[in-house]
Amino acid sequence: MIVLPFIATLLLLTALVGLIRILRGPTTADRMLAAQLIGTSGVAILLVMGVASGNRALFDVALVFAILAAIALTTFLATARLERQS
Amino acid sequence: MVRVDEKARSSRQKPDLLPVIVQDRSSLPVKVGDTHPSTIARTALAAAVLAVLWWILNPGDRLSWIIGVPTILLGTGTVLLLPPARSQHISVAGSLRFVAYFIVQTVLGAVDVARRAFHPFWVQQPAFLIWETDLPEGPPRWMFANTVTLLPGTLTADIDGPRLTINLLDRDLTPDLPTLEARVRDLFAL
Amino acid sequence: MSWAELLGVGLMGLGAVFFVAGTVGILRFPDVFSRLHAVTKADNLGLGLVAAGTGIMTADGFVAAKLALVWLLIAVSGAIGGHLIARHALRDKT
Repeated sequence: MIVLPFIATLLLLTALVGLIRILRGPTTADRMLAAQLIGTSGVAILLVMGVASGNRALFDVALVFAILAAIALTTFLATARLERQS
Repeated sequence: MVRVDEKARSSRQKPDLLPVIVQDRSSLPVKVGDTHPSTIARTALAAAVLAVLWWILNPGDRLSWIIGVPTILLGTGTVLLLPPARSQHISVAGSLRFVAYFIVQTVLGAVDVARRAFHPFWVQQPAFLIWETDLPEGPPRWMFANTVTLLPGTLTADIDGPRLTINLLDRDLTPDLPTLEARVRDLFAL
Repeated sequence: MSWAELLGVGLMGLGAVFFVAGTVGILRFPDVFSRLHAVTKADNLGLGLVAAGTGIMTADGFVAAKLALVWLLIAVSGAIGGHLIARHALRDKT
């Protein structure tokens, strides 16, 4: 399918534009939610490229990305809590 | 912690910035069974779920179980380290109805937010809503709080016992929270 | 090109539209809570559609189960994470 790389590129572009929110902030919560969006986009790109290339290992990479997104979020919140307590 | 709560409440009551609509509803005293599943049942369930997951991730690869079996044992051990959850009755028909409702609302919510994002002029004014739920503590309330986030225009911002602080994308929105409560009650056969 | 492929690509394209909506949302919406609405709702459905398209195009039960797992992880962590980020923003304001 010739269309698939274009969809993946579009998704990559949305992730890149999402970086603007990380640069601008203004709060850490804004930056974290932008990071969450980029993580989800990354998973979607991997799924599309998995179909386009026929390499099913990419689906496993997507699963690892999904788990890492959850871990990144937990880390952010745990750090925020520690900072509040200190 | 108390200090933080007060800070949050005072910030919530800034009149022009965050309009607060309070909905008072008496909460019903609900008795929940205090039965915990036995350790054997928990071990069996955790091992079975992890084994199925491993099978899904490595279909038809018998050699993968060389790593899989120790991993499942480690995972089961980790599950046993966690405090046991109160066993919760779930209605099968109710959960099917809940999933259908959930999918429809997720689509509506996403379409709604996409429409607002692409709208050429920003006309919405975000607002907060305090909602007292009469759902019992534990999984029902937890389920309610997290599905509110996927409903059109609503997002659970804070939970304080039965009091939920819900963010509305637009102050003109009237979210159908009683229907969601009824769906959650149907799911847990309450 | 078969009908299944057309449907799969269509779903993926539709999913990408929701990803664009989510990104436009986090750039345009006025406060952190509104932006959270964009991330939790639009991206959740966007990924769901992309995963559905992927499942249709690969036509494999095991891959479909894996995709469902990926989507479920993102949906659950998105909903809980969205709520926790909102709580953090409400309580800390940093």
